[in-house]
Amino acid sequence: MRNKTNKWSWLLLAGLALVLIVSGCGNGNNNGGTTPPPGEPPSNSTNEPAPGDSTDASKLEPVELSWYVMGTQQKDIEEVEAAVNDYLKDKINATLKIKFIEWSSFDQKLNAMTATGENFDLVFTASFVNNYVTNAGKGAFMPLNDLVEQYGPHIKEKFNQYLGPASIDGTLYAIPYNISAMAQQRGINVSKELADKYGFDPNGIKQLSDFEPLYEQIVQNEPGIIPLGMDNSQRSYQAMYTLPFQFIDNKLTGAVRNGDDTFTVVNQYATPEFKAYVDKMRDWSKRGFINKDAVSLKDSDTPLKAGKFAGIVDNKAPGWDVSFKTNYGFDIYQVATTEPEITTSGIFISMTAISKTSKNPERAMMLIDLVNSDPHLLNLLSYGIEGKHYEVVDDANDIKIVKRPDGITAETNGYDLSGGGWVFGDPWMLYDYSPDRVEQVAAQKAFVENAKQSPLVGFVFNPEPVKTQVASVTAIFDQYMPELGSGTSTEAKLDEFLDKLNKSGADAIIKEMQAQLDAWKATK
Amino acid sequence: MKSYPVWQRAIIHLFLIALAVACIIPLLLVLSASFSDEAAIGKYGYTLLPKAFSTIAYQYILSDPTQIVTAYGITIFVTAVGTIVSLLLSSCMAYVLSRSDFAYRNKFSFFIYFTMLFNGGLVPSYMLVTQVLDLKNSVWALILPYVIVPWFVLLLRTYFADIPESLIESAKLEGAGEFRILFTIILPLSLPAIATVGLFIILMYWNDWYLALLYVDEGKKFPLQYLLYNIMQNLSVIKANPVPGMAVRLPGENTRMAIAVLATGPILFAFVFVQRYFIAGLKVGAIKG
Repeated sequence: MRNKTNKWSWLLLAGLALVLIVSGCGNGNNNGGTTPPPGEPPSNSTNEPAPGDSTDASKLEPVELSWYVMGTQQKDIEEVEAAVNDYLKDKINATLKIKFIEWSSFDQKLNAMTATGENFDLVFTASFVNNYVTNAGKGAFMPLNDLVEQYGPHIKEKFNQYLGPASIDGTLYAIPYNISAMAQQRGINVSKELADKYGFDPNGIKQLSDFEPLYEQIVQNEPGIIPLGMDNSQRSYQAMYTLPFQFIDNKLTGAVRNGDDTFTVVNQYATPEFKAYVDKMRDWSKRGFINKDAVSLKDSDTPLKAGKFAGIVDNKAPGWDVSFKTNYGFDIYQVATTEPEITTSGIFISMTAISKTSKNPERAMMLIDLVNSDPHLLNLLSYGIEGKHYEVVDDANDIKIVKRPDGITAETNGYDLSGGGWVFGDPWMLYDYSPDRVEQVAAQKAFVENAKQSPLVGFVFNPEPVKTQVASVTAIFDQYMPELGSGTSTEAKLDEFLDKLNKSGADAIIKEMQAQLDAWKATK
Repeated sequence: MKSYPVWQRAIIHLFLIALAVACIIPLLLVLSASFSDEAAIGKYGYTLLPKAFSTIAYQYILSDPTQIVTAYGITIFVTAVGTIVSLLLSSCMAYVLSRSDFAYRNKFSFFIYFTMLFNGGLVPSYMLVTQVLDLKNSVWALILPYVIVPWFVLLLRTYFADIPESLIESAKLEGAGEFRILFTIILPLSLPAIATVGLFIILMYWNDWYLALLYVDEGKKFPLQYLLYNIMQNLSVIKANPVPGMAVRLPGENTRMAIAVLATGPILFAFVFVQRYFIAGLKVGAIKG
């Protein structure tokens, strides 16, 4: 039956095919799965016993606690839980359910759980995952001030100086236990081999242009190797943080100049220093110091492993050069571009919070206290059962050196976090696979000791009043920064960037930040 | 029938061949990457033939296949049971809505289709599944939320409505009950619709990882796609948020590709074989006797 409708149906079909193809080419973001609306379930369904279902506890009543951290599911998790519960029985008479949630799903899962008021006890929180400030603002976490007083003597002993800075408006919502990662020092890594070859002195760097002689040599004499590799993640603009400002937020407009006691908030992107930085990056990119495809490169792991990048922008941390070598296969000098500093986001780098919905907050606090003071418990959680999942090689110090049992690799081990036990508690108590660990810990302790506390430490910006502007400014930042930071932008782009920022309410954000900062300063 | 000139046919064929190639090449790249050595991928990028052939990724995964095998088991169970239950319930519902002598037909239809436009969203459904029905970590949490999809009910209803009333009436005269009518008359006549809807439902259950993300946190109960999703996404999330000095376990590129192959390969093969039954099934219903 050939009639006119046939032509239209072909057109429609072609249009549909085009739409399907285009949507496929688009950003394959996380939520690509089909989500048909949930329907009415039939009456009969299997009933599972609800977890963590216990009455309010007096000290002797056995309770069950659940703890959500990032990690991969472990085969022998039940065995390890049994061992943990055995140990906890005498100490706090509680049983623990360890819940590992994959990194990729952690935020979504925790959001769903807190939004629906689901019952659970302990959870990992930080500035970069399960955001501490946002969740505290939502009322997802229990205030801990009194609980620490009563049940957290070891916490007070170890972390007292950080409890204040970790509080929001005087209330503490999570325990900042990871001192080792609090101090941050900005830097750029360079391959040791190339640096030595061209007589580069890693300690003689005062400013970014001091890297240029080395980079020049690499570009001229080492074809195929890029001196400074960048990709389109925050790596592309990390060098920005060497500018002499205290950034109030990693992305938003608003920073206080170093040494400014009046705490005046300015738009750091409109300063001459920022322009100089962008111009320098452009210059570097033109001279071949930075890879031209930075904006489209998803991650630098592969070129690094292949030896294509001679260095990347990366924070300097004691022991990080060892991890770098393990991951990427070559030695580096970590060249510092700033002094080590403790900022608010450093304080928030790893914390444990107690959910508002927890039925046993006292017991949960006891557990946090125990985990951060008892190496046996922490290492049970982090390494599994001795003899089965790990063996002690050297127990001369508190920090025992361990190895996996013969014939067992990380993949075949029934319980193996591969050093990821820092999600539970103080990493300085963890055992380690590397015999250098004891020195590394000493170096880390010295590093943190010497680090200066930023004058703004403890100030947390609450974005709620300006959240629409925050959303647009963040979007503009994400759009322009990879280009500006990797030097692939034109001169006009910077003006465009500033213009768009102004149009999206950068000033409103700065005003709000100033107001909050002044209020916070008054309470000091 | 008029035959198109050669050059027109050639252009069409070339276009279709190019399209087919464009679809196959990514699959070949994944396959090739899964059989490569990690360093080679870094050096040469993704190539159609692996530059350094190595089965190390597969050895790594298959050295302990329990997780993949369990995930397969879960996915197959969820898909099989889910499809059957869903088809059953959807056709029951569609049948009722298709009968013009059902007095409350319009009200029920409105009630059901309203949810296509407005639904409570994540929070209420999460509360329903975890608190009211208590299905957290149950395999039923992976099946029940999708068991009735209003769109499919609509499709089936439309198809059922086309079946002449006289057939149903004559069956009633002979003393058939409603269930009998549904199963012996309506369903056999609606095979094309059932097959189509069935196929969509199978794909929906097979590909889903979202329900697992929300409701399952025990490794033994992860379906295949969720496993894949985690492995693929973990890498990017961890990279974006490096915590200074803290260790995280990262599988190599070749391992991720190998897992992708293991997760999607079998269904691809299965589909190729099952395809002709679908087509046959569709043709059967097309010519109503």
